Amino acid sequence: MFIDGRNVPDGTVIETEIAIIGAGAAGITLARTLREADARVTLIESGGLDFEPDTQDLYAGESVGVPYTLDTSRLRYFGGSTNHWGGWCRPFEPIDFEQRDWVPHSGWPITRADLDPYYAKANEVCQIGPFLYDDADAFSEGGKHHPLDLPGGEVMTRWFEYSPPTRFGQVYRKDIEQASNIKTYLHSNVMEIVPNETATSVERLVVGTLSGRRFEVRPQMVILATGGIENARMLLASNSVEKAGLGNGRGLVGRYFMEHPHVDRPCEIMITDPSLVAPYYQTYTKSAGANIRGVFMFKAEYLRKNRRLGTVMTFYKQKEIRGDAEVEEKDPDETRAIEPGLAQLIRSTTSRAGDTPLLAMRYGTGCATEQAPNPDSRITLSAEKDAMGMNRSQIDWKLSAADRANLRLNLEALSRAFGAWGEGRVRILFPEKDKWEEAEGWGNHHMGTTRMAEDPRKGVVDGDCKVHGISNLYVAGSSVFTTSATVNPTLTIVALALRLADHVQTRFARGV
Amino acid sequence: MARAISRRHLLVLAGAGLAAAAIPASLPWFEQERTSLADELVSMLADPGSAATIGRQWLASIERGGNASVYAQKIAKRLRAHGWRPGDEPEKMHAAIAARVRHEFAHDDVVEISGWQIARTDAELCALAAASLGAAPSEPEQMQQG
Repeated sequence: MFIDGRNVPDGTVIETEIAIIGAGAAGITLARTLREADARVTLIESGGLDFEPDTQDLYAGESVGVPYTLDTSRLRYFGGSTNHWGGWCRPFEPIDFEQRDWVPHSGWPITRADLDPYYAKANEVCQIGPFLYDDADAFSEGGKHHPLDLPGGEVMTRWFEYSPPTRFGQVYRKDIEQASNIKTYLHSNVMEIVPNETATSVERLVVGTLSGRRFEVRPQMVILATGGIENARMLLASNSVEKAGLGNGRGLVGRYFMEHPHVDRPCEIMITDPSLVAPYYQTYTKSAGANIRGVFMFKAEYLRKNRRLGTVMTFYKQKEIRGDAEVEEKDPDETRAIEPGLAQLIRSTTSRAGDTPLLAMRYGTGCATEQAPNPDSRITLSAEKDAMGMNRSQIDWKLSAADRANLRLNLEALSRAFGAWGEGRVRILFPEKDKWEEAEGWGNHHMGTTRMAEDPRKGVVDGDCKVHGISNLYVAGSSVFTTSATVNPTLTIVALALRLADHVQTRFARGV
Repeated sequence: MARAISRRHLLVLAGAGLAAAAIPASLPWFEQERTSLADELVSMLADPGSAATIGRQWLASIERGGNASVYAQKIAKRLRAHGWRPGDEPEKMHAAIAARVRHEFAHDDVVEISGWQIARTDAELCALAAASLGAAPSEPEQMQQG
């Protein structure tokens, strides 16, 4: 049942077993999974069923670090940011969950194996098709296509699988609306999560609408699922009992904000024989019942040995390098002048390509890279208030010189791999700098602000996503990520939500 | 080995042949050997003219000059480690160059030209082409170490 919060009488008190705050990928996955639970579920969503500027404006805030846009990088209505996501899906690597001694603050309290069963289910939720990912044979189309045979043990081909992309608010609306145990309150903004006097359990949620209504939800259990920035904001704003904010006794809420810095054309790749490059590298490709794309990533052994963070790289055809210069238009970029000669050089030394007027293909690249967790990269409350009277978010995104150097070194590893392979060479365009004060781009991936750690001194939530020290408050979404990995977060958000739903159901079944 | 031979290449090889013919018979035998080695290495390049352009660019970026016989000796020394010996067939020289270049990439022995990451031997072949074609500034041999 959908209820417009603007029609709820002032002062209404709603009793429920489970309150889920936020109807994005995590909140909808949780609610949908809890359809069969023997519990009343109250799903509380700030927006309506479509985009509304007044509601979206509640996302506006200040940026004081690496320039970042808070309002356009997410969507505030039923379905959340799945209303504009691109559908890129891939599980995190096992090493992403590990404590890496060269990455301060790394190490999740769970492993990739803990998430594996949920990744498979998340694939279904995201309507991806078969869970194949790194099955090169499955994508070979009868032996026609192979991943590039890059030697050196540093670079590997991995595959993304694409969600259509699933618009959770549209695809799962009926499931939520028709579930007999779920009531969804739209246009309803949780303004504070209010705990008991000792701040050891949540008692009630203060809910308001932009039209001025106020009511309460009294839940037995609360799951905060408002996104990687808003989860922190909500805890910080819940400060009537704990002045520093709920779950923030150690000052960790909002810290460790991470993104995936994106760089367009960090390098170019010249390959003598384009027929060696399988179609799945170059664009979205249907194969084995999935929609896939091949990318380059860096092997765990390389990352360990060289103490690196990860990077994921895509590439695409850019320009033919031809020997019959008479028919080639001269490139206005003078640095391009050596390219035919370089192609001939590769053919003279390491290439096995046959004689053709097409000497090589130049490929453009794009990349997303991991940034190290940094406690000073953080979300805090701005002094500025929104239309609900709540303090807006302030983001101080920090990227370090080490993050930048890491990407550059990974590009050099890519260069080694292509050179040692013999059919290619790499041109690095990403400049070396001793600071990283402006991001070339980002993924709209908001991570780390309520990080997961078994030790309450190191994280906001435990391995079950429960807020340390509060018996009935959980957090869902990418804010619980301890480290960011390199790939897009949605599949992992959904997998973690499915795991949390299992945990909640088990807890209710046991009556605890 | 597959190499596309350009019209420019043919002209360059013809030029190299004329230059070789002009070497006085009285030159010491090792000088003749070095000149021959340089020619042999340059002849492995599909387009020595464009390789020379790359070589000039590299030499300018590292503020070095070029001396054909020095580069030839440096390259030859490395190729010996990959089984090549003077007098071997061109195919064997090519195989040794390929192995050497791959080895250098694997061991991060690369140089950068306009952002392009190429193996040291890649670059020195280009420098050799530049020097052989008279396009690189000369430099005393004793200065060209490493």
